[in-house]
Amino acid sequence: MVPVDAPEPAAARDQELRARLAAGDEDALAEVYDLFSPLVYGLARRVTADAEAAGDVTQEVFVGLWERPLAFDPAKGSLRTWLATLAHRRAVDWVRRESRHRRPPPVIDREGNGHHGVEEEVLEGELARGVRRGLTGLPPNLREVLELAYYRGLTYREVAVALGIPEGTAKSRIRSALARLARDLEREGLTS
Amino acid sequence: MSEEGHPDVDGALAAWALDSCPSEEAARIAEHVASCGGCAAEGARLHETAGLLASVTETAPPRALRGAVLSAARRRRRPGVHVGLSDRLTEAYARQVARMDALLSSLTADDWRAPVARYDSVRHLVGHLAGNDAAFAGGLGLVPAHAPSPQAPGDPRGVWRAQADAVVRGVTADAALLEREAPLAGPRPASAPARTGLVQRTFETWTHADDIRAVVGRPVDPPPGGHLRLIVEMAVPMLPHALRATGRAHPGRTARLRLTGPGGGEWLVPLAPGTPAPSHGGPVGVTVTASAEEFCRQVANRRRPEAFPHVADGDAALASDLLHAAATLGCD
Repeated sequence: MVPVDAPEPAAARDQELRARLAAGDEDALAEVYDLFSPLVYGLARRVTADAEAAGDVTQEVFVGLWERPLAFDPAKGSLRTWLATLAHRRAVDWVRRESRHRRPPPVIDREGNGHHGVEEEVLEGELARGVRRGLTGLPPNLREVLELAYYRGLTYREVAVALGIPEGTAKSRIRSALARLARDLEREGLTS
Repeated sequence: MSEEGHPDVDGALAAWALDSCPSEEAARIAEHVASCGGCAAEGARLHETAGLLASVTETAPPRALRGAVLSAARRRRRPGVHVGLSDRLTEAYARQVARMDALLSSLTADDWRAPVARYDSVRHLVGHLAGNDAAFAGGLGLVPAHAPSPQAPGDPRGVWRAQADAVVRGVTADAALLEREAPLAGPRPASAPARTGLVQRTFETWTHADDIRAVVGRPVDPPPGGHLRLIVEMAVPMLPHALRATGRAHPGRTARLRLTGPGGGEWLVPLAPGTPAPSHGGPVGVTVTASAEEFCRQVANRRRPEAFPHVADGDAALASDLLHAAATLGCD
């Protein structure tokens, strides 16, 4: 169920899906949804911590892709990354809009685990297991900036306040955390 | 930009890739990334790593969401319609711009002063075209609202061409612009989705180029069939309203328009707004047969309806009203 294709077949599949979406092929949209809705919904759910908002984000992301499939440029990255980027941005927008009304205290999840109810099926493939190992292997001060910035949608300024560190330190930790994670995953052969 | 201006140096680019920058800073970085190859490549790598972070949150969505997403998609864009259409529209316009530019670059000083169509001179005609282009481009924010007037002495070709290029560049960079509402040229203020406006720009540019060709003794140069077809498909849905605006509406009646040659096809035209088009094969008051190219010239009002080469099979009065109404759809 979880797409962990080798890079080459995924790139060819992305190209083909894009062309079919551009031609108005509804079945292509259903295929994209079946491949990537757990990615998009799960990420939106995690960032917003709100099932209804996650459903809205999921709908906006896939309907947006259907309306403007050519905005996705396979030369610049995979469809998977594109959809995750859109989902994250929309989820973060939702969090920022909400936070004008109320500011839930950030919960630091040091294990990098989700808070999923029993009714929700968490899907775990080889890639996810590798990323989880990578996150666990990060020093705690790097893991927590990713948790707050990426999984909770905080700005680096809010991260700095939450952790009691200077803003510049928050930014440089985010940079180090991503660089280190990318290196570890590459070493594991999970990325090209 | 100086080295310290690159956002990857202090971690701002990484924070940006995680959507973790405050919005004004995110906008500045996005602008920088759009014009800096090094930061764009690094940004793409960072987004890829961020996408990997998403893999640990994968969760099956509620079952009902699938149907909701697919039906919302269907409402926003009809299945079976190719979105590559925007490329075709842009290509059609860019072709007419290139043809017009080649023509203008070949004109002598006398040619520029020659009276043409409804204008004192070719110079005035190009000024009129640039004015209509400016309203469209300005409506989409592609040129400043108060661009230099091409009527002013100077370089009418350069002013017109710069605007036309701004339109081509703008809609090529952002096809979504074509879904925005933009002003249409014509005797009455009107607006339509910019994709319709871009077809109108194509149509007007061709029409005026042929106006100029006629006065300087060159053969006409019609667009290829696929582009003529875009013009026909723009004009036909406007006919019922044009019939009403000219007092020639026939509620409940329908005409069949059978256009031949490149760009041709068959359309059922309700002869008043609100008249449902009957299914193909249903009763029609008249069938008008003509070449698609000539029909476009009729819409541009470059022929008197009586001189329009066509065959009307059925109620000749309906055909005459249809053709008179069609002639009011041009940009002059």
